[in-house]
Amino acid sequence: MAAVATGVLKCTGVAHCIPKGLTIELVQAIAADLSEIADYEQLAVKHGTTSEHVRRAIDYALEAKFLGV
Amino acid sequence: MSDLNATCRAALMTSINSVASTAAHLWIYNGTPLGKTVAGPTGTSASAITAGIALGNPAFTQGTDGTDANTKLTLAGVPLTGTATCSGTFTPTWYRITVGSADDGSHTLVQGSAGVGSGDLNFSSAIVNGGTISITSLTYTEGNV
Repeated sequence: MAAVATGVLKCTGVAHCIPKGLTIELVQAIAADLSEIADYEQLAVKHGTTSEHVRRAIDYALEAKFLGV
Repeated sequence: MSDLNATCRAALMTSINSVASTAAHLWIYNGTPLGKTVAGPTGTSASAITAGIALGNPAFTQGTDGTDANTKLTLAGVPLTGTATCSGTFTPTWYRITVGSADDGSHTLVQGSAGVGSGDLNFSSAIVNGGTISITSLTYTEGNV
C-alpha cells in the first residue's frame, strides 16, 4: 500500500538567550531608557546594576533587535 | 499531498498535544540534524542545555487555524526557560521535543530546524554558556489547512 501524505506540520517559534547576569526584563527596561539616558553609569544606578551589565544588555538588545540602529 | 478532513485534522493535533503533555522536554542542538530515532547528541559543543527544557502540562493550547477549530497548537506557559550549559558561543541548528525527559531516540515527538535569525525555532542571538534560554513562542499548524 502506498503511503499517503496527509499534510505537513508547520512550525514557527521564537527564542532568545539572555546573557548570564541579565534578565529579559532588565534588557528591555534599559533599552527603553536609552533614548533619554545615554550614560551607562546613570543607567546602571537607575536599574540597580553595573555599567558592565548595562553594556552587555545594550549589546544584547542590539543583537536581538530590541534596539534599532 | 492529500487533503485532510477538518475533524481528522483536529484529532491529529489533539493527539500531538496529548502525547506532548506527558512531561515533554525540548532540546536544542548544533550540527546536522539526526534521524528522529537516533539519540540526541551529547557534549557541550553539540547540546545547548544538558537537561533540556521542560514543557508544561498541557504542553500546548489549541486554537483555530483558518476555519478549522482545534488545529493550531501554541506552546503553553511561555516563556519557557533554562540555563545554557554549552561551551562558549553556541549556534543552534535544530531542536527536538521528546516525550519525557530522555532524548534516547525512542521518545522523539517532533523535531525541526533552529537558527539565529532563521529556522522553525528562530533565535534572536547565539546561545552563550550560562545564559538563560527563553522560548517565547512555538506554534504548530497542520500545513494542509
